[in-house]
Amino acid sequence: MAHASASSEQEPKLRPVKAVRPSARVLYLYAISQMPETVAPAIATEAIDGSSKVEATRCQGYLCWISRVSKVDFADQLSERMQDLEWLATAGLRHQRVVAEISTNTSALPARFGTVFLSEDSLAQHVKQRKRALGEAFGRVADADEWGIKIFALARPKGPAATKAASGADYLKRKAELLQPRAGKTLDADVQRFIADLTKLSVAASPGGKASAGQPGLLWHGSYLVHRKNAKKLDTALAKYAARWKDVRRIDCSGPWPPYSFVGEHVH
Amino acid sequence: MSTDAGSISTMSIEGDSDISLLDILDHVLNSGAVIHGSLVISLAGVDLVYVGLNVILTSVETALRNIDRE
Repeated sequence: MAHASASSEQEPKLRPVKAVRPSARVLYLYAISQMPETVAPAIATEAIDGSSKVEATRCQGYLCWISRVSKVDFADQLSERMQDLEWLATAGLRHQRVVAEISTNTSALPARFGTVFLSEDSLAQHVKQRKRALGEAFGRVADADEWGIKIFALARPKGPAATKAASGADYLKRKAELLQPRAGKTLDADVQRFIADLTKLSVAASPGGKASAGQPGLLWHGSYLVHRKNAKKLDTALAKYAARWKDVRRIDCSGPWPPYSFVGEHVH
Repeated sequence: MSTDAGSISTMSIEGDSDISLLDILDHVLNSGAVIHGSLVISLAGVDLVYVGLNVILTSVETALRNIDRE
């Protein structure tokens, strides 16, 4: 432990304290929602930095859900922080939890992780410039949820001969092949039919995220914006293909997510 | 949920205990700078996942610049 009185010989690496202004704060945006008819309910979930509050601030006829966070962590050094996967995982989870709580009370457009504004003025200016796009996005995601769909190839059962290996390394290699079925280069026609069925019952589709693209056995993944009245159709389609693919492929479905993949400009 | 009729798992994000961090990152992240690597993401109470990570990330400033260019 470092003590202020310790001699410089014992503690040769005592660093000079850098002057950091603790007051330097930026606005971290979670979501934008339409103005509620009554008072917006308070958000109890832990904020993105684990210490600040989640606030709703009026902005250009909308409510912007924000936290006032450290400028150093969330603006100056955000990209460095995001390369620390532990930090990223914790912050990503907090972001999702806050957006999920906001979305339970009101129709909200989720901001992508890491959306930061330097001041309330710059947030207001941004919202003002994008009013039309925001209006369109609210229309698109109304009464709809995002669902994440993944298809995995199931490991093919192999005969006992497969375990006879020439060496330990060979054994491990074979075992790895067993555990990690090779993903085909082109999608099977039946997988394409499944994707077509999903597209038909959805408002919009988006390619799956990059984070899980390297999962072993993943053949394909995508996000779908599905109207709540069509949720049953989604269940039916999933059950139909799951039954058909029984020992060949597995389907993972996660959701309902806030419509993260469907509020940007790129959505068609 | 898993059924005898086939292999399907439905993960409800409510309570988020059975959702992997990968799924969360898939949905909350978007385009920008690139990270490569084969890494481990862990967090108490949520899945421990081994990832061949190739996450595309962005800062707001980058995102805004991209949007403004249109």
